[in-house]
Amino acid sequence: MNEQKKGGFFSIGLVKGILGYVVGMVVGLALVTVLRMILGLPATTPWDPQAKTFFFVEGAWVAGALLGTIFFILSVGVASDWFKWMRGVETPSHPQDAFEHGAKRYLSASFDHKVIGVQYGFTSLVVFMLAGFFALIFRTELAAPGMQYLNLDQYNTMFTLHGIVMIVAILLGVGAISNYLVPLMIGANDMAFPRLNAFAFWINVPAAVTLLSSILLGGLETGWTGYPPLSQTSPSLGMSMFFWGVYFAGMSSILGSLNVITTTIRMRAKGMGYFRMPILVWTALATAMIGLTATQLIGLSFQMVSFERLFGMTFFHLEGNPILFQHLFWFYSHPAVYVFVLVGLGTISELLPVFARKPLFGYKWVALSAFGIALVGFLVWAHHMFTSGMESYLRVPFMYSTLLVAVPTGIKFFSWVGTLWGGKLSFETPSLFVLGAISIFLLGGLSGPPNGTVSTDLHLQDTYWIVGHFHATMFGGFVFPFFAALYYWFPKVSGRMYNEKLGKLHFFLMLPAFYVQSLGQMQVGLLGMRRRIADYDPALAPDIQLTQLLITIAAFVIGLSVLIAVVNFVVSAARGKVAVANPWRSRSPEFMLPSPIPVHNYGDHPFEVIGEPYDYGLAGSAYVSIDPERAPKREEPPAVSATAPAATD
Amino acid sequence: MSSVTTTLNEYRRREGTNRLGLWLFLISDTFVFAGMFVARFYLLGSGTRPEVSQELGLAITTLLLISSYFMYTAETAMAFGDTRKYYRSLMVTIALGTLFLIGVVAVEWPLAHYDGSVPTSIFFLMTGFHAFHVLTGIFFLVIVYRNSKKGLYTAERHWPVEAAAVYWHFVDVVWIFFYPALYLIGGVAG
Amino acid sequence: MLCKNPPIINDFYKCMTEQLSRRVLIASSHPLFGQGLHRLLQERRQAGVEVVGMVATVDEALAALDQLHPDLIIVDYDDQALNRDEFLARFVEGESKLRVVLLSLHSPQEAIVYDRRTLAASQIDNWLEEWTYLDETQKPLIKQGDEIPKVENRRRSVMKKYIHIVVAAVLVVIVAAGLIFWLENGGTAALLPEAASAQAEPIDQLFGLEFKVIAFLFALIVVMMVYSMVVFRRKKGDLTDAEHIEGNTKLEITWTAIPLAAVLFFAFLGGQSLAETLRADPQPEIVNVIGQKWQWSFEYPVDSVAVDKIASPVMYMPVDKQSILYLSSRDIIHSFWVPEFRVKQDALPGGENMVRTLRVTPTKEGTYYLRCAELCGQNHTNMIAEVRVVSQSEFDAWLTGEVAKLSDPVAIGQNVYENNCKACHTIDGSKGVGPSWLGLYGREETLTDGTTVVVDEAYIIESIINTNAKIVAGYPAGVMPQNYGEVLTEEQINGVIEYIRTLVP
Repeated sequence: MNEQKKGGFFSIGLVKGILGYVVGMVVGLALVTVLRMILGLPATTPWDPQAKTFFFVEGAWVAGALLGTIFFILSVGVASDWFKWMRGVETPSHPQDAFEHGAKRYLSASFDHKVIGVQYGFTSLVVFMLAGFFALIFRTELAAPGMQYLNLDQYNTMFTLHGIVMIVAILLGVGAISNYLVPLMIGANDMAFPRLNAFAFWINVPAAVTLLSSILLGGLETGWTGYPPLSQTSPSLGMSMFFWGVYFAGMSSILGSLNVITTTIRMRAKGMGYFRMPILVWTALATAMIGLTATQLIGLSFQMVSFERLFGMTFFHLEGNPILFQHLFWFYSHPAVYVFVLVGLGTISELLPVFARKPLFGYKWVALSAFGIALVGFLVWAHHMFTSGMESYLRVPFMYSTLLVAVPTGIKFFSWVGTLWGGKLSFETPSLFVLGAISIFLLGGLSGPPNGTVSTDLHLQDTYWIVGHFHATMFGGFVFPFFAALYYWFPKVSGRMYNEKLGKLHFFLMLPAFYVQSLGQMQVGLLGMRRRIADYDPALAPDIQLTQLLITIAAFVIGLSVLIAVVNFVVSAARGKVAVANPWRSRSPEFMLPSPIPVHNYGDHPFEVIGEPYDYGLAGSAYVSIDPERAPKREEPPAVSATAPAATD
Repeated sequence: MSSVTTTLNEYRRREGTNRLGLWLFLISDTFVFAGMFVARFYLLGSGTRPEVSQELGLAITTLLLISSYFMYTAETAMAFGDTRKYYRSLMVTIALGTLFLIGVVAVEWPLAHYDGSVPTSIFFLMTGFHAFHVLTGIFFLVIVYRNSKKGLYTAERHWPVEAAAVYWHFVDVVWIFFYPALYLIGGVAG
Repeated sequence: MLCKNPPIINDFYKCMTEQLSRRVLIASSHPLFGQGLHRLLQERRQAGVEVVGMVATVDEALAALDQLHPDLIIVDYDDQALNRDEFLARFVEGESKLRVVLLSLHSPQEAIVYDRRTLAASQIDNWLEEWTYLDETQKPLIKQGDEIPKVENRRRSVMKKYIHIVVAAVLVVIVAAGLIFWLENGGTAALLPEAASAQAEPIDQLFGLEFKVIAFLFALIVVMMVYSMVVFRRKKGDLTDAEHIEGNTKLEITWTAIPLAAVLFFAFLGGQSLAETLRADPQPEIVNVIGQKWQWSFEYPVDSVAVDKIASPVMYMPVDKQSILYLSSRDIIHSFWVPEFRVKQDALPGGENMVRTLRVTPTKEGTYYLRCAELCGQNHTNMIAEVRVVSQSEFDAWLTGEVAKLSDPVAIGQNVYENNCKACHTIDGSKGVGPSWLGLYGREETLTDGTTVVVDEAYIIESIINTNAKIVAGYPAGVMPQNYGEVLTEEQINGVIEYIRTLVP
């Protein structure tokens, strides 16, 4: 991409991409329609939203979405080097961004992992708020019994989109943290594959557009899990948009994971052994290993249902088997939840030592527990299917494997307590968020074993208890740590400090509201409220009505607190106090660089690992040196004296 | 990646990174094929298979396996600087791969008579995904052929050739699993 | 960063300058202080130390920073003329990488090194406070390689550690005990709906145990966390680190092994309770439970001349007798669940191979609600059926009564309607998912393709058997189950027609 210092509105990557999407959509629609006319097949349908027909046939809309996505990618400019390689033209080893600075830089193709990290982070927040907005819409409906303002179809569409768009937001947030921090933490100057990195970010945009177009094309009635035969027979065209939108979002996850793994394995600086990496890199690596492999299965399962719809194939209905879909689907979607939370747990492990001024307790155990969780996470998927009609006896081994996940997860919890115990805690906003995260993830994690035990799960499956369980794990494993990370690294990324009072306000609104929400959901679920319903049974209403109202209020409080945070970030980025390089006195290498970080990270600095990452309290120790004046031959740090009370592994 | 202006050391370093990336990609892709493989057995059991032409199946499988041999020859020739052998072998690979594709899409598919039933759905799904990978593989090989004609590769620096070869072998290995699963196991589905 | 604290100040400087860097700036307005230091450092020139300048005021110092680029500044702490507060405050805003030593001749044993890279501007006040604080007390000597000692007196700190653990443990026990007490005395009962089946017993027992374990573990972690947040706070201005504890292998093994054992134990209990819920009684009552969008229908096999089964939209179950439910679906996945019975099972489409069983032994008479527990599209919310648990004699009487009803075609048709059609077709004229049946017979309808048709016998039969052939305009295709042609007998379809005929406004 040539450097463009000036350029109008239409030189912005995002704009070009959207235009490309529109063109691709038109071409796709036209192609299939014309093809069908030639073949003598019915090429159009009446325009009747009630009957869920939208002039073009479903296959045409799908072709439009596919070509729209392809044209988007071509137009935004992330694939241009690849085409050059195909033509045998050489390119510089690190590609140039479309713009060097300014807002346009962030809205166009950039190949700098820090810019991409910010792009992921910003998009994540936007998408997160959108998904939250959908939740507020249907939570308002649920606040009182009876249907007040939504109809059943709209309600179903809202919670379906809330689920899948939240998942996309979480994947983007995980991408933000991994992409921004992994190279910095291992001493690399960028990711292994910068162009792939840009591609993996930008494909989320057409994916989201495609996904959201389902609102206009008939809505969704299946929940984000899209089980056939309902998803196969559902008359809504939006169903196909859902499948293909998710497919491309999955592609982003897979390719981003590939990048993180390669970067971590190949680009660690000298001396950065695996057990000297910051713990966050361990969790990013474990996350990437799941993302690389398991994600393909949701792509496959959704494609198979899509082919059932488009080509009349039979896999999951008639002589096919609907349980097969569930196996394929959950084989990804369970490990996926560890993709959602591992990086958040890594953030907790990363931040606690800084705010407790104490080493991470049992670093090696914590590091390996991330891999333990990832591995065991592949073996448990059928616990989502205990009532599905799968072989009855098979449920028992899955119960054992499911409960086993508690062991590596427990190691993390105990290690966190061990880190805090005897420390010197301070309570700046990032610290509050990780502490809150621990308690919430604990609630979520503890509400898991009743689901993992088959007999109790018979009562809990498809109820609001499950909803409470996964909201607690998601908030504790992603939302709270994500905000902790945003506040923590905000000064490093933007060069300015956020407003601490607003940060604390955000926390003190969000934490209690979340507890009300989660405990409320668990309560009503136990009492008999099913999930994914627009209204509760009058027989149940007296018991749960008050709780429903409280949950809705809590949801609004959470929404308000998020708004406060976003305002804080936006205003502080423009006008906040200038931040120093290391406001938290962290030992982590990225804090040795100025804020904001220069384009080439460590550039020509020698990146030397001269100690352990979490040796807080060890006088005279440092972790990494980027000081060119330090002797290139480093001496071993002096041995810990005999008076040290620390036990060793 | 830039192949002329970097030192050999830098090239090797970059090549190693790319190699890891390619293998990770193939590991990921394996999961898709594994999923389909599982679906085949879940739906049809191990005692049934779709109704397809065995002779044709054997023929195209042979073509694909032979093409892999010539791919290996081509890569080895390039590594040893034997450009003529390289071009010949690469050409043969492309030709055989194309024949395979034609055999599947133009001959086997009409014969298999798709009717939306479970056996034909599975068959077309699996062979379709595989054929798509064969097609992209051929595409990849053609690009490598053209670029080698431009003199971009040498015996020391020919990463794209290795990459295309690995990809081609991967596609072949997938077929080694798919062929028995679809053609050889059990009796014809009722 | 810090040097061994020798009794002689000379060695201290030697250590400092060897450890740190080469270019030194001295800030003091006392000529003797400055000259003395200068000479000492010059004597040690072989260590590569260069005194690049001496300054006496803040401004001079700042200017020297810019021009001379020293690596280390030694500041005379006691110098009143040198406004060290202002100096430090301004120094911190600067960009250059610098280390500062504050040296006081009043306390020769101590010096504080200030590495500007590790403090933020906002913390300078805290830092200065600390300096004052440290000045007043006897601080233990700091040696290189030591953990930086805590602010409290060392001798008491060991005892304190154990006190903390004990106090925290006691608090954990109190909180956990409180929660468990509440659970035991009505808590668990308040959380769950009343148990009305034999299968609910082992499940509720397990729930009770699980809730208690959850309460304990939650108390354990949260109490210890909150305790830490209260007791192990950082004191204002304390910039030292905490104790350097890397881990404890014994502890790690313990808290891996105990959860592992607990988890395996609970899985075992889970398997046992599952087996109990699956226990088969001899000769259970047989019910075919059929789900479809968006209603339930229950078929009871009967031994009569006229019919072999009766269908009811309400499920009757005899109390204290096991019913075996054969679950199936006419279209998509639904799920059978009565919260009071606890057990749940999906109802699958796909015919005989996909029928699944569920055994329920109701233990309390009463009316309960079966609510579909698998999202099935638009009206999943309202896919509810009544379950009446009655005495055996009442049950038998009801069954006999239902058989008797099935001689009249209109009754047959109405029965079909209530078991299959009422979720989507109303009989009062209001618009449902499908057209209302009120006044349907003989009406002229406009179809989606624009043609009109009069609703007669043939049309009704076609609409049941070939549902998507003629759709009335304004209604979606592909929603009505397509297999009624196989599921309903001719007699039943006839009955439907007769029933529709009676529905005149």
